Formats: sequence, structure tokens, C-alpha cells
Amino acid sequence: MSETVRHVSIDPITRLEGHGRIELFLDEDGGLADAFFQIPELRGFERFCLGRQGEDMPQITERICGVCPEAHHFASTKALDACYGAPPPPRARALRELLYNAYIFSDHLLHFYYLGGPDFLVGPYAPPQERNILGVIGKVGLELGTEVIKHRGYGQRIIEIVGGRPIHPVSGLPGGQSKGITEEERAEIESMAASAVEFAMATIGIFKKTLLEDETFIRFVSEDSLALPTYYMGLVDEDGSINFYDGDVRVVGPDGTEYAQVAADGVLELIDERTEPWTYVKIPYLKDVGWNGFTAGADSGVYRVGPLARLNVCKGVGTPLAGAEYEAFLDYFGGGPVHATFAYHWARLIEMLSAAERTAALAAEPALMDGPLRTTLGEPGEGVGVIEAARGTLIHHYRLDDRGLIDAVNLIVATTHNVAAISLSIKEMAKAVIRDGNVDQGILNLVEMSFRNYDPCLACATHALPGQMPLIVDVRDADGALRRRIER
Amino acid sequence: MAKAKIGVYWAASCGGCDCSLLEVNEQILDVADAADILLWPCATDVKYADLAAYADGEIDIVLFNGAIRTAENREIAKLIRRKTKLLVAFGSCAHTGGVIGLANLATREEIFTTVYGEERDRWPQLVADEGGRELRLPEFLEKLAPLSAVVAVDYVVPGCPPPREVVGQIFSALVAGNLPPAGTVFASSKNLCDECPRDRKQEKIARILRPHEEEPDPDRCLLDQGFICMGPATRGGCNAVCPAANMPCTGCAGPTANISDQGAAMLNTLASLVGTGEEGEDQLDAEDAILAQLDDVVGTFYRFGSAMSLFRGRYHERNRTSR
Repeated sequence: MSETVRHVSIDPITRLEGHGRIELFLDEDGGLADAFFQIPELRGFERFCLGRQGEDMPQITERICGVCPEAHHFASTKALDACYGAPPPPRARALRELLYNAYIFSDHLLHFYYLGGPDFLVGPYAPPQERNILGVIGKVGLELGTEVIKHRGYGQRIIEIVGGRPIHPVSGLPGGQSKGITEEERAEIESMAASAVEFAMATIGIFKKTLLEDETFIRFVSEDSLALPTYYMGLVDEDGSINFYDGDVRVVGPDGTEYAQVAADGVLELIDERTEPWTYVKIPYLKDVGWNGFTAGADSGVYRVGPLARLNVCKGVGTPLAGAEYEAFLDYFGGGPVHATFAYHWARLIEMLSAAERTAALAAEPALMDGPLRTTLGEPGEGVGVIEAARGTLIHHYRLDDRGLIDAVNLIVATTHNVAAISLSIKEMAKAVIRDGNVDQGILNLVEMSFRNYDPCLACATHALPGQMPLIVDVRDADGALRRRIER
Repeated sequence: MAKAKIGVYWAASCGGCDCSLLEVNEQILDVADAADILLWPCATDVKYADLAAYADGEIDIVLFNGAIRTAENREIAKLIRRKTKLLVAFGSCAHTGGVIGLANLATREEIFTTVYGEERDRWPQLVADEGGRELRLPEFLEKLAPLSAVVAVDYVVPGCPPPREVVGQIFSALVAGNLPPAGTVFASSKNLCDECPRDRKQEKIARILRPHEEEPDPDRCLLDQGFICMGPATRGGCNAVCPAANMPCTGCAGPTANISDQGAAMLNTLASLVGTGEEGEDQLDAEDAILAQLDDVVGTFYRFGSAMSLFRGRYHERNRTSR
């Protein structure tokens, strides 16, 4: 080798949502010395949300992310439900859940066929101009390609019917929904959902025939160096099953034992965050475990969220077809928790199937068609809304003043939870594949594949304000006189 | 016919504009047949070094979404301007600054203090030394700007995100090879009310309502009912989907062709509508009292356009009305 490459930038990293870059530093032997995952963007939602009307927040915060606006829209709406002490009536709740499961289906489909999947469906070493959805269609054929496009369209159409728009829906209001659906629309949703279930099953079939037969994929899910034994976080319902829309926050340790299970508003107590001078994103970790640097294991507060984390915290996925696939997943790995980062791809497809099954079931839910759309609101106050975005647990925390304007806002966003783990995964992959200073585009793509597992949304990530929202509690006596002010 | 060369780029954006390109469903396959994609970070593996290596003017058309928030956004916008024949401001952020233009109400220091805390030495640095390794971040600019503030723009596609039908029109023109003249705005030349299914009678507004306060009548004009609907000052082209979903228009498509400041135009419209319907000298006071019910003037009237507004920048707390 005539010269040693010392510093390599992957800029921008591609096939994800938002801006990111990877800086690799090589040592004299041409191996990896260090790697950094940088997020070079910030938009400042935390600041300009102050003073806005509370009920405008579902539409303002969804502009954090146009790939998962539904997640922000309803995390926000749920926070407002809590601020006004106004849980939605059954009809509104059914409408929200219906839209929400269609979103999970559509978003997971997008990742498998458009963003992360092409690495395996077309091939990790394929020419860069083919590693995309068009390359996938070239590989799987126009017929299946058309089905991919059609079913993504079905998910978006359901969001449009229930939410008013396919991207950036508008229907969520504190204590309810702005609109219902007609019987004709319900029937349309039911038939699209039935087709979505079949398509999700077919997609898992494709996964098994391609990725599970692919040498590189098998190596990547089996190699210990590419597995990260971390803590995991996700929402579960009262049966311990995954629930994307609502539930308790459950955290398990690397050995699978429960670390915590708390109601939505308790999650803020579990997390602390830190800043690094070289990135615009903040890095959260489990407060009581502590920050121990970019490292995995039981002694490190690094934890993960998203499809793999949800399968690791739940006792089941809650729907029959996906349930059987979940068992097959556990059998393959010899039981959970599964630490193989590349298993995110598989977990995502099991969830995609489960979301399709839930959409089909909800479309037949009688509550969908009758009853009030809104409930009576109480006085504005403080509230937390937690939801499972496609990429993981999403938390919106607001305090409203007496006019219902935003007085304080705190957003802990799915990808942000994963930032420390993504940094680790990139480093481990770079260490494993960079030899003798060889950093051709195929090698660099392998490095990028390590973050694509997480389906990161970096536009979301830079809007986190994890940790404690400043809180002021006034203690008054019976006459209303201020006795004590507690600030934190 | 030679294949067209197209690009898609995002600056400070949410990715919704990128997703809106997929909303045309199967039509995207026609685009793929008719054009080669030379840049699209969300969906293809083209890096900045590849972009820089293209000849000047090599790309035929770039759909540019997102606003100019960082020095990197500005630099890439200028690079893309050199590499493409036609540049399209695609979506609200590129067109008018978008929702994130609301950040211009605060200074950079205030934003950083809110996000990263009071301790400046813990803020992200433009150049950081991490164990002898230099890591750089692009500057977060003092003010956010729409695309047209930094480079010349050939077409505008309004909307947050642009609606499916409009995206379909652009793609059809692209596939047919008959793109319209520079200066075209891909939207209706009329306002949103023109295509709204609701019945508008221009009634006097005696009480301003916020969307969560009351369930609107589904057939009557929202403004007539007292909800602040931005329809009169906003470009049509979306089929009034928000009013159809029982929610007011928030103005994402920007001002109509004949007005420059969308918020001012809407406030003007509203000022002429408020009143109790009675006559007399105390009517001015009554109108003032109704307008004082507006709780968030900037967030309501300049939701998507504060970066393009006449006031451009600081908005003082004392201007906030109170009930």
C-alpha cells in the first residue's frame, strides 16, 4: 500500500431521515482508531413552541418529522389530553389507534423496501447507484414492486381518511378528534387492511428467502462483536404485549430482567442526558445506572428503543400471525433478549405484520362509527404523552398556562434514545470491516448499514430536550396566599 | 429523447417533502423511466463529493426542500445552484421558511440556552478537539432564511408538504419534457376559499374561537363561526383538505399571488369582519376587545411565514395580547 488513509468522512450518510455524517480516523496500520457519528443540524422547536396555543402543538410538532408526523401528532395530542384532564371518548380513541397502526405499517414498509432493506435486497456490495428502491424493483420485479408502492399507498390513504391529510394529519385535538369517517370509508379501510396483512406476510416470506439466506446478513446477526447487550425500553399494555399507541413504559436489562415499569409520566424520572461538543444532539442515558461512556452492558446507562427493543421488553406481540413470527424469531436466536443489532430488520417486519393485523381488527371495531368525537375539557395544566413511534418511545411533556398557551415543553424523541447505541454500532462495524486502510465504497456502506438498522430519524433527534423540565410548584394556603415555591 | 437528470435535496426540513414525492404512488415509476436521479440523500447513495464532481449545469432540475438554517445548508444550496439548470423551492420551508421560521422570534443564544442550558462551555462547538481529533460542525446561523434569500429560484411549489395533485403535475411535465417557464408557482392563483366546500356568508365575528373550544358546524365557513381560518390569505391548490377535516386552514401554502405579507393580509381581513353587528360609537372598542381575544398572533397568522414577514425577526412580548 502506497499511502495510509488517515481520516475519512462519510458525508452525508444516506437512506435515512435527516442529516448526519460519520468521521472515521484510521491508525498507522490502516485499522480503525476512532469513529464519530455527528448530527450537524438543529432547528430549535423547544424554543419556538413556547407561547404557542396548546391545541396547535399536534400540527406544529409533527413538522419535526415528515416521515413519522403521526407519532408526533398523537404524542402531542395525548400530552394535551393529559394537560386538560380529558381522555378521548371511545370513538376518538378507536380512530386514533386505527390511523396509528396504519402509520406503523406504512413506515416500517418504507424502511424495508426504500431505506435500509436495499442493502440486502440489492446487496451490500452492489453499485451505489443501484442500492435504492429502484434497484429493489429491478431485483424483485415490477409486479412485486408495484405491490410495494400500492401498499405503502394504502397505509397513507388510511392516514388521509382518518387524519385529513396523508402527511401531517390534522385531526388530533385535546380530548378527541376533529372528524369521524363514513361507512364507505370504513369499508375501504377494511379492504385495504386485509390486503396489508397479506402483503406483510409476503414481506416476511421475502425476508426469510433473501436476508435469512444471505451470507452477510447471517454473519452480521451472529457475530458477537456486532451485538450490543444494552438496556431496552418500550410501551406494553396490561398483558405485557406491545402497544404502539398507549401503555406503560417498560425497561429491561441486558439479561432480560425488568429494570423498571412506570406509567407515562414516570418515564421522565428514569432518564438523564448529556451534551458533547461535537454534535448538536443530546445523549440520554438511564439516570440510576449512570453514564459510563459509549459502552454497552449492565453497568452502562446506554439503552435502546425501536422494533428490537419492543420485542425485547414485551411478553408477546398481541396479534396471532405476528405472534407466530415472534416465536420463530425467538427460536432462531435461542430466546430473548436479542442483542444482535441487525435483528432490528426482522423485528421491524414482525411489527409491520402486527400493525396490519391491528389495523384490520380496528377497522371492524363498532366504537369507530358511533358516539361523540370529543369530550369536555378541564382547566389547562401539565401533562405527558407517550407513544411508540416506528423508531421507538416518543415523549411529549407540556405545561399550559391559564390561557392554554405553552409555558414549558420537553420532547424526548425516539432516535435520540438510540444515539449512544448508534455511535457504538458504527464504531464496532468500522472496527470489524476496515482493514489495511481499505475504505472503498462497499466497506463504507457496511459502516452505514450499522446505523440503518435503527432506521434513524436525525431530524427528530435534534429536537430532544431530555431530562428535567424546569418545574415551579406554588404551595398556597387556604386563603390563596403563597406559602412556598418549589422550583427544580 | 435523452433522459432528464434530476435531483432532490433537503436542507433544514422534516422529510415530509421527500415523502410527498412518493404520494404519487405508481407515477414514480414513470419518473424513474424518464429521468436519472443524480442526487437524493433520503433515498439514494449520492454523497457531497459526487455532487461537487458533477459539471456545472449538469443536472436539469433539483427539487430543493427545507430552509437555510446552518452554514452547511447555505453552502450546499449554492453548490446545487451551480450544478442545476432549474432550481425549485419545494414546500413551505424552502418557499417561506415554514414552521421552523418561527425560530426567528428568538436569538441564536436564546435557542441554544433553551436547548443546551446556561453553561456555554457545554454547548456544541464549531470545532471540537476530541482526543487530538478535530471534529467540525456547521454554524447555526443567526436567522433562518428561505431558499430564495441565498440563491435564485426558478419555480415555487408551495405547501407543507405540497399536495399529491401538484406533485403529480410536476412529474407529468417532467416526463413529457415540457416544463413551464421560470417563475411558475405550482398552485392555484386563487385563494383557498375558492375551493373550500364550506358555505361562506362573510358574517360578523363577535367572538373568536380556538379549535378545541367548540365543535364547528361541518357545513358553515369556519371564519363565519369565529375560528381563525387562514383561507382568505392563502393560496389554494390543496382542495381545502384541512377545512374539509373540520380544522381551520393554517396557511401552509403561503400568500396568494397579489399579497406579499400573508399574516398582515389575514389580520386586515379579520379586522374588517369583527364586530357585534350593532351601530354606535362604542363599536371601535368592541372590535378591539374581540381582536384582543387572539392568544397567539404570530403562531396563528405567521405559522409558516414569519421568516418572510414584514416584521422579520424580533417580536416583543409586550405585543402579545391578553384576554
